[in-house]
Amino acid sequence: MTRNKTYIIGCGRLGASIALDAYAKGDNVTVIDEKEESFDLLSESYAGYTQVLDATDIKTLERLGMDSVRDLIVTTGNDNVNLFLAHVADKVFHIPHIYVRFDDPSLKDLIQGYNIQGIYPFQLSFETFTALKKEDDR
Amino acid sequence: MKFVIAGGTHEAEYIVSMFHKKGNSLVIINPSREEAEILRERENLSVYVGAPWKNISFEESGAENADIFISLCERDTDNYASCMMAKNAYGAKKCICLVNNPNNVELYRSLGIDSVISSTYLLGDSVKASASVEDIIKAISLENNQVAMIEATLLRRFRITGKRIMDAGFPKYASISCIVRGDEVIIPNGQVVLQAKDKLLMVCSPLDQARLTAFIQTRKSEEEERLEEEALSRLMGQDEEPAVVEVQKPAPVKKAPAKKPAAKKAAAPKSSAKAPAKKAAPKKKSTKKGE
Repeated sequence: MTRNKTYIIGCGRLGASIALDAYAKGDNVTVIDEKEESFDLLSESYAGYTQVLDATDIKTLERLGMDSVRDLIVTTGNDNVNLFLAHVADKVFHIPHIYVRFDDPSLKDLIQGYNIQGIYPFQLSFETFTALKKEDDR
Repeated sequence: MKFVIAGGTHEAEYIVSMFHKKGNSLVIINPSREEAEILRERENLSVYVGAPWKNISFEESGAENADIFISLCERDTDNYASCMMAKNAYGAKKCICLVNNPNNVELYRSLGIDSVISSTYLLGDSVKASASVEDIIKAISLENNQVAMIEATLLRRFRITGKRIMDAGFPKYASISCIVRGDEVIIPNGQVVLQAKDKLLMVCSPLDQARLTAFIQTRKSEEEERLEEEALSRLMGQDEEPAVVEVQKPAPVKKAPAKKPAAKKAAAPKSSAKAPAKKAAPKKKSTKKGE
């Protein structure tokens, strides 16, 4: 099966923005969230797929056809869920590109050795602040 | 041994009390302040209040390098993250975790958690095991399915019922751990006579489970069953078939009929083992008595 789909698990502000952007670029996008209301964050211009389901159940994931996914973005509000989904995506479904958001930067240690890339809002905010401060102090 | 017990309520209390003894060091981490308070009071141990999947909890509670890390949180993914943290970042040798969703058992194991326990999964396993035999046999698996524990209730018709364990020909691949007889628990030796309604708790390899249950359920042969029936009736002092004969004769002599049939019945099984012989015996009696 060809891997050409983009799946986004967790439709928060970040998930919704990524979905919209990928859809605008012409990707085959599916957004997954356990709550229907979460899709309110997607703007009117999004016409990709949405799925309401609990992604932490392996049977559910199998039914989603993960073997056709090229890019997986994991952005639920729970770090432990994100960690688990990213590990499963790599070790069970061998998805080539996995991106995961972690609020707790120490989870970095737990994706070492996996084909997973982490996004750490804390680190990004801190770096931005440091850069701004440096600019001001000049 | 160093144990870390993370999360949980009653299960945590139970496990803590089980391992709280000399030679063990226990680290208890619990995200709930109330539960931590209960554990602290019951076991007189310090409890770290915090999330067991956070590295700060490991560092502040001294949970590094555990021999066994047990995660009993409510949510499966929390247990997963705690075990991953313990194993990959804090040197835990063995991780055990509880899961609610039985589909996660195999998955979590394949992702690197040493032992995954789901009560639903165990229940399913034992239903599967007992559905294939009869409901008098129950089975659970221990140690990641490497050991099977089987409970069987003995019925009178089983071959081993009524025998001493040493005479029952019990197979070498299994052992009887204990026998529950009414309220009594018997630790078996060769001299113990197996009785109907005894519950045998046996351990064996899961591979031998089927042949062990087959062995237990082997029925007595017809001959054995008949011998036993007769022995029993001798004990009771009466027999169903001769009873008809006796009813016809009781009035004249009181003691004679009771003794004679008893003596003949005892002799009958030794001399010939076939059913017709048994029927013939009472006939002879009646003719003798008639003369």
